Amino acid sequence: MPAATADQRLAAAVAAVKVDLGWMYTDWSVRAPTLESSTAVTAMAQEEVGHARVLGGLVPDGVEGEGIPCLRQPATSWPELIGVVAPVELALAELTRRLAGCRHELLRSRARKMAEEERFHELFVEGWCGLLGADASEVTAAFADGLRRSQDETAAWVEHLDALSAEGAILDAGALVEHCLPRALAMGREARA
Amino acid sequence: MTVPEAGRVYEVFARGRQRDALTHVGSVRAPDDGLARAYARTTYDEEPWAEMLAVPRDAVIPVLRPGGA
Repeated sequence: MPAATADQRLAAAVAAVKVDLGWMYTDWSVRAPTLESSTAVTAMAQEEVGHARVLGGLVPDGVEGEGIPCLRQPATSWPELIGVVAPVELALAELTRRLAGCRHELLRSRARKMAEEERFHELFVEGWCGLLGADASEVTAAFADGLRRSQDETAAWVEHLDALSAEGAILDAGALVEHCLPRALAMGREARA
Repeated sequence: MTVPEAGRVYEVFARGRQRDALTHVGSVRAPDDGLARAYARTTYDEEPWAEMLAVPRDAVIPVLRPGGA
């Protein structure tokens, strides 16, 4: 089997992360703090898996994408879940916006609808990060713990995507690191202080 | 661990096509406008709406009330 191309490996990596996010959200779909937040994570799980299926269509059989390891460990509380997924969702929202305008026709066409849906995931994590970062004691500590687990791994994953994107001439080198990471890494700075 | 989330009620309106009238589709409770948008969209996404709006219930101005009060 020929080696996968950079665009295929990039699609595989994004699909892998979306599958893992889908599982994490599913795990919380009946135990989020409110009916609205349970409904939201249920809908987000469906969208993540749908996006993964669409991207999977660009990936040859047998090609595994590089994921984010912390997404494969269960979150023990809602604040921890939000802390873990927030940097990833913020990076994905920006990533899909960039891909919706990229030079790769197939990725570009598939990223447009994803970017529209990711905007609401972004709103969801922004809202929750604001709530949890402003709370006291154990809630903020759990949230900050989740962030600690996720931010470095999300940064490494975005750097990996950036290298693939440059290799495949999908986006300019450095574009993903420049645009996807600042907010993902700034999120919850107060909570971690 | 008690997670904070209270906020206010937002009434949600949508229309299927631009020429359709806005229809009240339900409500969500959210602590801010951003989460209200996220919740409205994920709760009432059963149709491919052309437009969806959320209005804080406490911003609605009563014009006529049941009983005439």
